[in-house]
Amino acid sequence: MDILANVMLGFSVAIEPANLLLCFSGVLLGTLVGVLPGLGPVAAISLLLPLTFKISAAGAIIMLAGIYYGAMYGGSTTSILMNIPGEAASIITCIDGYKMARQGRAGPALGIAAFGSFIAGTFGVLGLTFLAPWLGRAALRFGPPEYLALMLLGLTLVAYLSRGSVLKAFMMAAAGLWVGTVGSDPITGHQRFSYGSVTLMDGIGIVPVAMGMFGIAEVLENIEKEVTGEIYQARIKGLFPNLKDWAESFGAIVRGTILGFFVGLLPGPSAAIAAFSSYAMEKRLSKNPQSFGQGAIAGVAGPESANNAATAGAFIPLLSLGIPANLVMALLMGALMVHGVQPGPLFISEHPDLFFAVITSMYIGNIVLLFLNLPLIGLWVRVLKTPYFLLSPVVLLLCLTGAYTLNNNLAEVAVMIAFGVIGFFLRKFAFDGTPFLVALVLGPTLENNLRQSLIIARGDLSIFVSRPLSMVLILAAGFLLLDSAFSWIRNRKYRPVIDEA
Amino acid sequence: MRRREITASISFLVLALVSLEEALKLPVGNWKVPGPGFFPIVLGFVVLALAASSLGAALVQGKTEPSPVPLFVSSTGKRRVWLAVSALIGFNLLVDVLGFLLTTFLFLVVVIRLLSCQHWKILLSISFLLSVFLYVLLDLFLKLPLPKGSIGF
Repeated sequence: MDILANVMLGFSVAIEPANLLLCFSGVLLGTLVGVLPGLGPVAAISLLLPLTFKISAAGAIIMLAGIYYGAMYGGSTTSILMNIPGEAASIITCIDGYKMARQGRAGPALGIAAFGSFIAGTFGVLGLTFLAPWLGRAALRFGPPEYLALMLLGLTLVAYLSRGSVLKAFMMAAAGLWVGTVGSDPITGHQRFSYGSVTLMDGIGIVPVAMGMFGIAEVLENIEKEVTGEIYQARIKGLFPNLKDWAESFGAIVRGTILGFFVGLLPGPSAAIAAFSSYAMEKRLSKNPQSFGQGAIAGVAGPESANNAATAGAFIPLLSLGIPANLVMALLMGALMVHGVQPGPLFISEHPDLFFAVITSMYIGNIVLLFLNLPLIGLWVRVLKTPYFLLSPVVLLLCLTGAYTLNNNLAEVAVMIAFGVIGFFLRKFAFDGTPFLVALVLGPTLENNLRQSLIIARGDLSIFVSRPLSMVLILAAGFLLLDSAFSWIRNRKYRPVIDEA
Repeated sequence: MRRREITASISFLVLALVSLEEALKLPVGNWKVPGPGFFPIVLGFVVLALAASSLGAALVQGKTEPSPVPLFVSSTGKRRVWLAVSALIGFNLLVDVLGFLLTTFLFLVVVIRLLSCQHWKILLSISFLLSVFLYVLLDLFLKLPLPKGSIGF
């Protein structure tokens, strides 16, 4: 009943006209940016984040959550109509979704993606409603050693599961932790690596780095390669799946929802892992596995449901533990911190109105997504046809403006451009930026917990293994590190994170 | 690819050595009361070890590739990227002097020209309309505090 009362409280905040408008705007803008080829949820949030600085914390996270799942859906639209995935989680949708479009069934493909996302998202948010407060209460018993161990495990998992070489991922994570030390020491206030620069004294901000490495770098890559795609040209009709489509998809949606939600709890690219795992599962369970890859609707329904459920699941470690499970959550965490809100176990108890407002807005946002996006398919198709020579400079300008409006400081813009160039070349050298950004977000808190733990234990490192939960987490992280080391020594070559389904 | 691996590893090695050199100037403290230099030193050694491993692996790999893969997909692509970066830097340098509207217009002219072969009249028209649209949207509608420059907008 306590949860019910809090949910009603959340609804009372979420249905305020201003917050409803922000939810609607977030979903619309997120879908608009997500639909654009070459831009996914990370770029969408990076670009649109500065728009939230002038609004309340509740409004900001409501809008950003809307942007996130709007962009996820927009990425699916591009996958189905153009065979260009907006982000990793949409790659698998290209396989059967685009095939369906080529067979004249773009409408049912888009429709089942929307309905599957809605159903999975709704159940995912239900899970978030009940699981997050429970986990938050459990986490109140955490001390600095447990937090440190949890963050180390989270970071290790993100690096372990990232694209490409595991060694490179750990190098990026360590580099991200180091960049997080620039500025004032959190305990003594001593300046570190600031070289007298006023801008660096405040540290290197998450937002300019994210916009640079994932916005600017993405656009530079697209400018270099001249991203184009063949757009499905015929008129899209019949958006509502028929009975046969539902019969073939329903099981996939249910299984994808459950799988995606629990995968979303894990650190790492959970939406992508959920989508790929769902596809593999559906192909294995299908009575007609050879239809996969030829336009099987279950090959769209399952992955789309899984990635949307994972989206909701990923909010749980963020809001209840203050651990961003992936890059998007790291960005959202950065956004919350800009608004003076620290996600973690105390977040739910100190800001129940904010927490439940976010959850209830996600219910509302799922409905908005369904009823907004299906009728506007024609609009998204027109947006898709925007020439890239118009699109790229506008995206770059939004990044420049966004970085400037953070603190009215051109130095932040310079930081963003620098990280844009760095991010572009890191991609050339096959380095994944995700561990870097997650480490940058976690770094200051991780250092704080490490130093507090050592102070409490008077320098005795056994504190991390004498406490049961900390020991379990440290052992899990250690196991992953050892496995990574042995794999690297054994293979010493590129290890893709997802095997082909 | 081997050359790239070596270059990347050396870059990280340099980063590690620079950070260690700077971190050692900070008060390190001790295990009981770690100082501000403690964590950066630990990280410096971690990056050093990882970069050294990566470099060692690249050197041991030997020359296996038949021909090096170019860093950029084409010389045209390379030119476009560097011009785009120059345009970004130019925007940052000029916006405080010329103001958002004029700098945006110049930026759009440069970048659209870079990416397409539009006739100058069309190019200038598109750039003008887009810059006015963005100014109205961002400054007048969203009221973002954009640089005004010496001309006032």
